[in-house]
Amino acid sequence: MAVWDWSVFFNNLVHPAILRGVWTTVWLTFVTLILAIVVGTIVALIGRLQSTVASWFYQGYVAFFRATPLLVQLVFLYSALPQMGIRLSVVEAAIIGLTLSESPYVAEVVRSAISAVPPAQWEAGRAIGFRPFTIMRAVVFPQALRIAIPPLGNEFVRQLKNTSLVSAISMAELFRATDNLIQGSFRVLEALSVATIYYLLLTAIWTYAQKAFERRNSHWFAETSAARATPAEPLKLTEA
Amino acid sequence: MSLSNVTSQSAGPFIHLQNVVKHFGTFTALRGISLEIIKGQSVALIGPSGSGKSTLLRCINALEQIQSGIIHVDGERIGMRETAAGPKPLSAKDAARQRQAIGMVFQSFNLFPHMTALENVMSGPTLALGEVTAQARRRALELLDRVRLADKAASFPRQLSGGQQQRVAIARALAMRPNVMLFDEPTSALDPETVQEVLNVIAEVRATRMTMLIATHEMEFARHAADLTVFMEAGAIVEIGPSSEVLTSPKTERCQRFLAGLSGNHAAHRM
Ligand SMILES: Nc1ncnc2c1ncn2[C@@H]1O[C@H](COP(=O)(O)OP(=O)(O)O)[C@@H](O)[C@H]1O
Ligand SMILES: [Mg+2]
Repeated sequence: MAVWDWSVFFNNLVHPAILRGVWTTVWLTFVTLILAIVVGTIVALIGRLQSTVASWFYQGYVAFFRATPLLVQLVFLYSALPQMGIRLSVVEAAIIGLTLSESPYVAEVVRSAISAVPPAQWEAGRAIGFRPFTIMRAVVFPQALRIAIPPLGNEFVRQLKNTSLVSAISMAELFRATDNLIQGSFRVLEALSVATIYYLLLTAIWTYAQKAFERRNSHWFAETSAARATPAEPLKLTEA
Repeated sequence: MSLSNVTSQSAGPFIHLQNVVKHFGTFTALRGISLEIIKGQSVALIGPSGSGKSTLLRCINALEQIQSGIIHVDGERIGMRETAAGPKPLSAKDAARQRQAIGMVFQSFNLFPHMTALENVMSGPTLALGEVTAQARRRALELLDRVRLADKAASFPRQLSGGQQQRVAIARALAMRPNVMLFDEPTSALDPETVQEVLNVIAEVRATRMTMLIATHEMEFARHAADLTVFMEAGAIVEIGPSSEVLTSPKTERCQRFLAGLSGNHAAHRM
């Protein structure tokens, strides 16, 4: 058996099962990242409520989902929940696990983005007579979004790699598809090289798209850094 | 807070502070301020840095909560509501409603950087008052024209000079149709060459008989644009009187020394 067999390599590269796996990896990454952004933003907003219970919830949530390995969460969702009468399909368990495990990272990004908006912006909103919710929605959140987008974009790469773990609960994403080919052909090197190439390619495409987006909208991002550069009033934030 | 003229005039001074005390922790920033301003009056607040000018302005629109004393604007008690069990702090919603009638202009402009000049000026009427967009836009354009920035309606704050940003900020405050305007050192963060354009706009606001308070280091401006001048030091009012008197022949030695220090070191009065 040759060390490297090009025909196996090319065969794997365009193998329908691999291409289906690539597609599964891509949509799983997008869907769960978007859901994690929704969940993480809600968690971050809860964490900002001025209540001890909310702050405990936030700390506990972030600590719990950061401390538990994604693999454990996935097996728990897929194999332990049925014991409690909750039966999830592979896809459901994969989506829920990937979303929950990513959400604390999003929550931290969103939370620090919100605190990066200068207190003077809150003040300006209050002085006009906006209610706190309006200030958050129309003044602070749009600026926090501009601050959060670059770090959230980087989370895509983490999430892309995380999807490989759902192979453990038998979801046929890229890594599982690769593994299946290996089981059939015993050509590990060629198959893993193909998987690696696809992961690299997806990361490269995303990174390029993200940079292009940030460059094309640089004025949009600058609008917030301009706010950060304005001389800030001393921090005075007592609500009447 | 749009009481009719009859009500506000019969209720005495338009802005009425009685023994206002403000603490920051153990530090006392305002030590029992009493002040009466009648409708349409323009009042300059002067005094050394740290004397409590900003704090006083911020208490008047309840950006700061006071520890004792009473503030009334247009007959309404600021930041508090009367209940059977004594005065209670207003809810965030009611405090917001009170601030809608009190315009505030900050030293550092504090425009919303993600909105154009026009959107900044429209933001109050649309987001706080629920005015329809077309109407708010028409009025915002009028206001931008009044501060001579009609051609900058589509510019973002970062594309404007400090003086232009501050004029947008004034238009933004006026868009709420306030009956009081508070200016907190509106020209202190500006390049010298843009100070005058902002002072001119403020003088025009005054010409509409707006009741206003201006913390400022521009003594020349205070002299001709303020009916009254209040000299503060260490959280207390040391001297108050017609601007022409307080600024040209102050009675108290401390005010004399403050004004002498300014003219002796003219460059420092922007600091
Ligand atoms: N949020 C705050 N916390 C603590 N001290 C404050 C705060 N705001 C103002 N002060 C203090 O109150 C005093 C009056 O401040 P300020 O009203 O800003 O003075 P001025 O506007 O006349 O320069 C200063 O000594 C200042 O340090
Ligand atoms: Mg000040």
